[in-house]
Amino acid sequence: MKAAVVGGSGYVGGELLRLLLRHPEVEVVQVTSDSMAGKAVGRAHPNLRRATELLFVPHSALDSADVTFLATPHGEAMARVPELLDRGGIVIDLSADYRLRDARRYPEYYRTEHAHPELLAEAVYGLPELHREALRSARLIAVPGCIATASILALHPLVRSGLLAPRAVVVDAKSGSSASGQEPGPAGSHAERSGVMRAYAPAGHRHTAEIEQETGVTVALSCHAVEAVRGVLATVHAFVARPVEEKELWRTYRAAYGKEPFVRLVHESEGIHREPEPKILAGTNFCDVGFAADPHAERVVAIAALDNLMKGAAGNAVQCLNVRAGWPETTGLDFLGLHPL
Amino acid sequence: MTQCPECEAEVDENDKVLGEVFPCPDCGTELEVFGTAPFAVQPAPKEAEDWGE
Repeated sequence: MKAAVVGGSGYVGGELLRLLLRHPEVEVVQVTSDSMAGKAVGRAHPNLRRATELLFVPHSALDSADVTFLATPHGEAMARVPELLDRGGIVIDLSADYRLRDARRYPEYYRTEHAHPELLAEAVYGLPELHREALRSARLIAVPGCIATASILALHPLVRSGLLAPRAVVVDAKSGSSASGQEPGPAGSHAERSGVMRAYAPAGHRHTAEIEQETGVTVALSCHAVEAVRGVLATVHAFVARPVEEKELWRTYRAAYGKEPFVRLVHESEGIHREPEPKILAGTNFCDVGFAADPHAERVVAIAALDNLMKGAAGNAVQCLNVRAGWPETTGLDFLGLHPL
Repeated sequence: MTQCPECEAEVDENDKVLGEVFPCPDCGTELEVFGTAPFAVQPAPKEAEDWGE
């Protein structure tokens, strides 16, 4: 299958290329970047030196491909997608532009009217754990946000089980610096970022809309920047309607994820790594999910960890392609991570 | 199929012998074989840990 990557010079684009260049069923035929046009892919992504002879081309030079990945900033895919769909290939958008089914939420969360609301109903939210069957025939796949992915995967089994009390669920998320992309800004300078523990979005984070759409519950999301390059850790505080024991949580989470290739249940009674943590997941497509019962506070704590550039973006996009193409879902995604790191 | 008494994960007998201690594949609890016909397990005795956290 011939693949093109639009916006290939950013962190997500680089991660996509790392995966696709070694994917046995994919040939990368074009990588676009206006800012890097004419330069070698390895100039932007030094880990890919000699892995490909491709040069970046400007967006305007984009040809047709069997699958086109859009790794452009939010807002840019919105106008580009209709033409790509007309060309007949599969479109996998890693921005937020087609994640929300309700067009009214774009002005609310992204400060822009949607340019093509007629396509929102067709776009499939690219989370295989929830939408695998719809992905098998999708033309347009909207890859979820990283914090949203972790939050949804932590929360989904609890919602499905009917255990939750009818009130908002609190999600406390921490993320590494690569989650904010490659564009330089004052908040990302070394002096500001090093050693950081910052509540950068205590309320109103944009991923709230996705999590609510996919879980159907009101979400109180607070997001923090921490001292890491990769990684998201979402801690969900879900208040329950009746006392819940941990054995029931094991049954609930096993029922949801027992056969999932990239969701691992992690809630161990001994050792150092008892609950999910993002550090050991760097470069992998796993989302580790854990949980704990807290009868004292009538809550369940659910914890999800992932690499924001992998299961939170590029890895999940490749997983979606594998599902869409009918290939084994783990194709090209078998890296187990590093320890220690 | 025998289950872990802590998390209800299915645990295989394979070639385990009476008194053998092995970790549950899901929750990591150290389990001790206390019966082989039928196969039966229980949490193994352990020293208390204090992580100081």
